[in-house]
Amino acid sequence: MKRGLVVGEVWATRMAPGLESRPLKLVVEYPGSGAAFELKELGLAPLVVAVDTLDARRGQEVLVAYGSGARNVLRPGPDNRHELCDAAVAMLVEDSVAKVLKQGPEREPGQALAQFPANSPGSHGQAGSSLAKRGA
Amino acid sequence: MFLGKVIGTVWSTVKWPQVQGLKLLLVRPYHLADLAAKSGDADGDPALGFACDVAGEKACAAEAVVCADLLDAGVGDDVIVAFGHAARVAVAAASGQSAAKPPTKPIDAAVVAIVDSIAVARPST
Repeated sequence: MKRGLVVGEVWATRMAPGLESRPLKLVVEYPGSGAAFELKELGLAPLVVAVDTLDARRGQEVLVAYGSGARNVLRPGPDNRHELCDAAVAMLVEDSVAKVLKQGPEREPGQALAQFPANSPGSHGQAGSSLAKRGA
Repeated sequence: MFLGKVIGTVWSTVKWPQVQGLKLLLVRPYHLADLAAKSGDADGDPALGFACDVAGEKACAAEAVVCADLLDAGVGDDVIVAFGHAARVAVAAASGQSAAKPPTKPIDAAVVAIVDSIAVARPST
């Protein structure tokens, strides 16, 4: 699984059978170790479309499972080989957990944090506030 | 899965019989910086920059992925592409193969949705 940030949603009407009615979220993977990075790096980081069964909001930090892990998110068990899914939101990262994860050597106390605009649609007040930014 | 733009078509005559009749598209993945530009913010976010400005146009073209097309997408369409087993499952389902049988087509990327709209909120400082 990889850590990422939900940055948006995608809607489509023409879909392959098996993908209909799945909520699809745009998740940007944290670059490198994810401990600390510049905002510019986020703009060039891999952008993943993940099936979301946990109702993650924009700005929410999540763990994305890939491959068979993603199929197990949608349908746990051995009978999921026909599921059309290669990436799924497996967990929502709690803010407290995120803070622990981000206490890397590059993180400095009191450094500025990147945030989603408070009035952006779908954003949750503090969501994304724990996004670390180096050198701010 | 990733979000990308169809930038071209690929033809091949010498290929495995299992992939006969499959249309192949060239899809370039989007980055968050690309979507910032796409959302109408022509100047973009200086903190984010644009993917091709930073990485170079050639680097962006080199990222393009050849995908099997199930939905008759065309050049310029925004699409969602599935990788690996999910791509084979999609192609098998589209060709009417029973879900009980394992997919057999030798592909690893397929267009599984044509995007109608995208909503993106960019992180900012």
